Amino acid sequence: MISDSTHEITALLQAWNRGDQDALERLTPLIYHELHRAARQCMAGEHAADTLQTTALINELYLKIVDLKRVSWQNRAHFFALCARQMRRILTDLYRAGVCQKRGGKQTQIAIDASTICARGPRRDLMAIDEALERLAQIDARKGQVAELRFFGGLSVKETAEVLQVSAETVMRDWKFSKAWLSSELED
Amino acid sequence: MQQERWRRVDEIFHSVLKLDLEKRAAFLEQTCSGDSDLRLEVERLLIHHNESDSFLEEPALELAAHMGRTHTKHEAMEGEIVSHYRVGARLG
Repeated sequence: MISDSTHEITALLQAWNRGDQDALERLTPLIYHELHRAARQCMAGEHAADTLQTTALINELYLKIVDLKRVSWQNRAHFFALCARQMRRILTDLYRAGVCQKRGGKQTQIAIDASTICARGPRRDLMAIDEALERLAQIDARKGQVAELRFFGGLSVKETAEVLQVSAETVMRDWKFSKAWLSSELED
Repeated sequence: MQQERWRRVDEIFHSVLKLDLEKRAAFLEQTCSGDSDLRLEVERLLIHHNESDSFLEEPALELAAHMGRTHTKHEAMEGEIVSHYRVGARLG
């Protein structure tokens, strides 16, 4: 059954694919809303631990809201890229709020102190990673994209290569370098 | 960082990774030819490459969800390191 929102999102996705930036602006909050709900469910533990996968989530959303008969592979690639970006925003928004909820009846809130250092010293919390990733993207757009797609979108090397229309080897190279660079940035 | 410099660092970084360990120092010496800043830059990245095996390999959402589940499985004590995060004060 195709719902109205499915029509709308499909149409927006197609328009965006044709270069309509306005369509992107309208699509973004819809995607954010859907992913945000899914992310909150995941963090509240309402998702089987072993099967949680960011890409599966995005794919689920894709199948749910997009009219598959009318979209091309380019739409799908754009969709996944958009979802990775939105997931990044969602998680940083949630971390800024500093709340991680425990599973079960008792809603114990455990404060994730955004300034807390990890075991090995370097500040590797999500906000630091997000900031460093932004700096990486400023210097090298593609490496920034690779890192965002893989870390926030959970895309595999192969999927990332498909989205960016580059070889898997290129993705691997960008990924290796990006990880090393981000790691060194977080040490400062 | 200048684009040209960035490209060079990237290129040298990957070239070094293709070499056997014992050949790397000589290669760096040769390729960086006196530019100690360049060499330090690449060396720093290589060190971090060695230490970053699992870094960012688990997607952000999975990482965040794990933290919730870990607290369910056993009560995280204050100060305990959970994944990359140290538990702060319990609020509830």
